[in-house]
Amino acid sequence: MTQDPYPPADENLTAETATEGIARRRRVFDETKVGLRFFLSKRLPQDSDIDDCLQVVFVKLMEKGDGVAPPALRSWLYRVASNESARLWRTKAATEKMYQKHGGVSAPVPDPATAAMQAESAEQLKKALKELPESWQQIVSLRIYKNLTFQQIADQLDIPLGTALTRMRRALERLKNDLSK
Amino acid sequence: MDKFDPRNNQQQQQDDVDLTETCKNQCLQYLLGELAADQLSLFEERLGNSDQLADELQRQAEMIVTLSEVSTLANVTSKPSVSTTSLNANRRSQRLGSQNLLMRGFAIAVAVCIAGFVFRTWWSSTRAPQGPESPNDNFAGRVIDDDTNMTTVSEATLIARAWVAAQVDDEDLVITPNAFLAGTDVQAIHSSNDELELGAEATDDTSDDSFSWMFTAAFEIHEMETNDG
Repeated sequence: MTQDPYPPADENLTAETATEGIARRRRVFDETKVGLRFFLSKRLPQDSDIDDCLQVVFVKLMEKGDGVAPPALRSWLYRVASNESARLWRTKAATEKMYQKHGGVSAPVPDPATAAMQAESAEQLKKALKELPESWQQIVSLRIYKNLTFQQIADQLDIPLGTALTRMRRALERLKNDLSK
Repeated sequence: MDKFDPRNNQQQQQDDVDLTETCKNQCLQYLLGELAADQLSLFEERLGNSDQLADELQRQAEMIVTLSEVSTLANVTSKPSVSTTSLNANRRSQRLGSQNLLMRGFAIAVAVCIAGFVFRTWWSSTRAPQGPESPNDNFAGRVIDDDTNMTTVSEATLIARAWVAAQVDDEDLVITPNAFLAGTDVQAIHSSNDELELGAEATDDTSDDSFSWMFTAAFEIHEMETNDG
């Protein structure tokens, strides 16, 4: 069975009110907060930095999280946390240099090439998705775009749960390798 | 939580060994919110201790988000085509709707015409004995029946009744069926005894519609005799 590797998201995923969306995002953040703190503890030297970073992650979740597909929301939090921790490091380093040189503060400058790179990456990813084995495409589609759990996918396809997980993971690895070429 | 602990090679190797397929699968399950509750706290604690696990988690998270963004992009890029398709579909449906409307109007018009024709036919059939439209009934009119019911009679009936009334007044008249077949001349009935001749005349004239009143008259007389008797 050949499926569209990037079909339109399930309507059920977008059929929620703004209040429900906020409640869902807050719930996901509360569930992920502990893991995020452990995750950031390896990247940031001080607890205050971790708290600041978590606060920024939460604010971004409330501001932009409604555009994130529900299945990817937790992953999105980790991405934001990772980016924020890196930005914090850069800011700190730049600030220290700035203080050392001028004693002033500079605002972070957005990278104009980022959007273009992301668009190009998306095109590459679409192409890479189509080149995946059909059984892998199927798992990706059902999990990310149809928001079925791995257990549901395993039941539906009559395969072991571990097989569904492994196919998904290998699909992600293959895609990452294809994008990094 | 231990932070920035210098990691020796032995610990690094231990991390690599620990990062089994199961561990990677757990990352996937955790990111997608499917890790069992009893494994969740253990996994999160381990996340703070293993750089390998944190990196694996970050890689998978990045790919999942990227995939979901491709989904969003696909939705955005597919929207115009979808909307165009739906627009065309709407236009087609509008055209079909207008055609259906025309067909419906035409059908209604035809139905009205048929209904009008049927009604007119029915009306004509019901009005035929009364109305002046019937050419044979130009002299037809209403008479009051014995039972005071208003009934409509034809010209033939009126003539027949008048004739019967005149004959009933003449007690000497012997009415025979053949007499009705004789013709319009009543005197001929009285004067002639040659029934064969009268019958021959009748044979010639029975096809004439003007004599239909005679049959009506015979029927009237028969009815009167039946009622009297």
